[in-house]
Amino acid sequence: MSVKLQRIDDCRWRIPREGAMRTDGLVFASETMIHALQQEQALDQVRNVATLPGIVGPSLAMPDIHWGYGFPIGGVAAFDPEDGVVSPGGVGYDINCGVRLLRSALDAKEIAPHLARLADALFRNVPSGVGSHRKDFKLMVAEERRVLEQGARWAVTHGYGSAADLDHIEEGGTIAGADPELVSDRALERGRAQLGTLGSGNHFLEIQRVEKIFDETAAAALGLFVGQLTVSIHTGSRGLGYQVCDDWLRTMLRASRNYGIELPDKQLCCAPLTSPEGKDYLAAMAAAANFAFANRQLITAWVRQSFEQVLGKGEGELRLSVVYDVCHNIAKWEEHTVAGRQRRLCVHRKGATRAFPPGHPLTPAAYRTVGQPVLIPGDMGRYSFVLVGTPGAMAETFGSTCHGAGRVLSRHAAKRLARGRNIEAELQATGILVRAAGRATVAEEIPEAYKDVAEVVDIVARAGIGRIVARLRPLAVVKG
Amino acid sequence: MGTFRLLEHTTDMGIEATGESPAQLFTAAAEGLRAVLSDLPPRPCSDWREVAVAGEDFEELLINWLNIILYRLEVDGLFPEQFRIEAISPTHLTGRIGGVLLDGTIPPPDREVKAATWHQLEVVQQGGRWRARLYLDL
Repeated sequence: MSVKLQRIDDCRWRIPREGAMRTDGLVFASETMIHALQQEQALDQVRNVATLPGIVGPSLAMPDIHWGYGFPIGGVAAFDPEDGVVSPGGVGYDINCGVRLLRSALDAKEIAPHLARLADALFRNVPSGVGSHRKDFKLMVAEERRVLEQGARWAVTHGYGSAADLDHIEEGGTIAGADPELVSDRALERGRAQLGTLGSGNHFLEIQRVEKIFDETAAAALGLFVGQLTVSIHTGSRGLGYQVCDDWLRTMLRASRNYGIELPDKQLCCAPLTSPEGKDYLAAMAAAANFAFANRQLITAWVRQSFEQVLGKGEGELRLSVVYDVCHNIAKWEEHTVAGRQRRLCVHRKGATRAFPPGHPLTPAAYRTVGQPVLIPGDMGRYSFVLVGTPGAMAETFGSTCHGAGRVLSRHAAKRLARGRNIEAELQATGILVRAAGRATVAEEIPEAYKDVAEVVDIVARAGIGRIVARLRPLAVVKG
Repeated sequence: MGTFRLLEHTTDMGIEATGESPAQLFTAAAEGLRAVLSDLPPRPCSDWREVAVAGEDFEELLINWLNIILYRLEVDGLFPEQFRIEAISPTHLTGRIGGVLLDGTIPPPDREVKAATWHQLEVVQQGGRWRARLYLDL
């Protein structure tokens, strides 16, 4: 079905309210992006989200929008605490999938002779691919429940990192209100062997070089400089999160029926925020989100261990410290100003990043003058970006911006394009080493499978919903 | 005889399955899931697991059936190769999943499937054949 679109300016498009929609859709995209989007179902999904009860403001889509399930990937929607709903489909299966960026005191050029050994060490020390886990790390049931309550703080308490790490994680690495009792045995069982694992697909671990600084003041605040070696970690809540989502979708399907909520797509099933189902889902989701924070914290410890092993330097010399850690798939209670009135809203971000502006109380003290860091991975052959949040994002997108490049090719199409090519050799020729558990992943994750993330962040910057700080160039990529 | 074909999706993958009966349909859908998990040809089964799933209707039953295959893969390391539906009604399924145990000596799956989703989920009976369509989150 074709979706009615009205161009607002060169980076904003309105989907006017009609039919069952309760509000407009607002899509941030270039004309080229919009043409591509009209070939798939992402815009229909923006419209579907606009039909949900209690939605406040428009149903939003960031410039990396693409076809998801239920919500589009790149979708943001805020809901009123009294009339609104919470939907597991607005969070996704990989609850708190996110990105963490580590900076270092290392010059990437000096590390070049050791790069292959570093990539090997990361591939060895950080379990990646389906079914892999560290033999020396075992999580007992009682401990797993503590992970769900405490998130990254659990990992730090057990020697995996420092308190300073926690200061640079969204929500301090622990979402309050998590209730492990609302997480099923099946979810606990799936999670137990997967804490501290990268996973597969688009998840990755990347050694990078800061290639260009766009905003000297913000870069200085974030501790970034040209030529610096950085490390990015992209993963989430693994099987535990997938199971929590699956469990609660069933509950929400029944709840939607019981509360008389009409659904344009079953994956959008939801419950009122005031209902027991809605409250319980948020508590279970918080538990899974905490598992993801702990997951990235453990991986950080093993990244540090890998650098120490290969370079023979201690923590004091490496100074691999957390720049920031952001959630991509989450629903959270936040304070926002709507039509001049301060309101508490439940903001869903499905493949979108929080982007709070300078001065916001939830931005870490070190970044208070420049804004919350926003980490935008690209593909493994080009670059990633570091941005900061802006007042524009606060005013227009409930303090949200994009989360990545967004796929343009299906996995089949990417595989067809990669057939007969040696992708690893191609990337190596451009100075990028790849270590991957499976060849299929590399073929399906080829750079051409993604939009150019530079085009995505260009729209973000032009629309004023994020400010570009730095561009990072991959040097070594570990994939599952 | 059940059949399946894989559906293109920008991020994920879909399955369209058909069969002359619900049992054939559910077997074909599981074979579609197996085809998404690995590009390797089928291997002889070394282990079997009995499963029982319930749902409110065939749609929920299908999601629960596919997701228990993924659960067994993650928790037991059982890579699914063959499927036997022993009894099926709109609300209950009992059957067996045959597969190979991922013990480090055989190649791991090519893809991680997070879950079978409810997005555009459909199970219908048309002209004496059963047809299902669903999308997987990868």
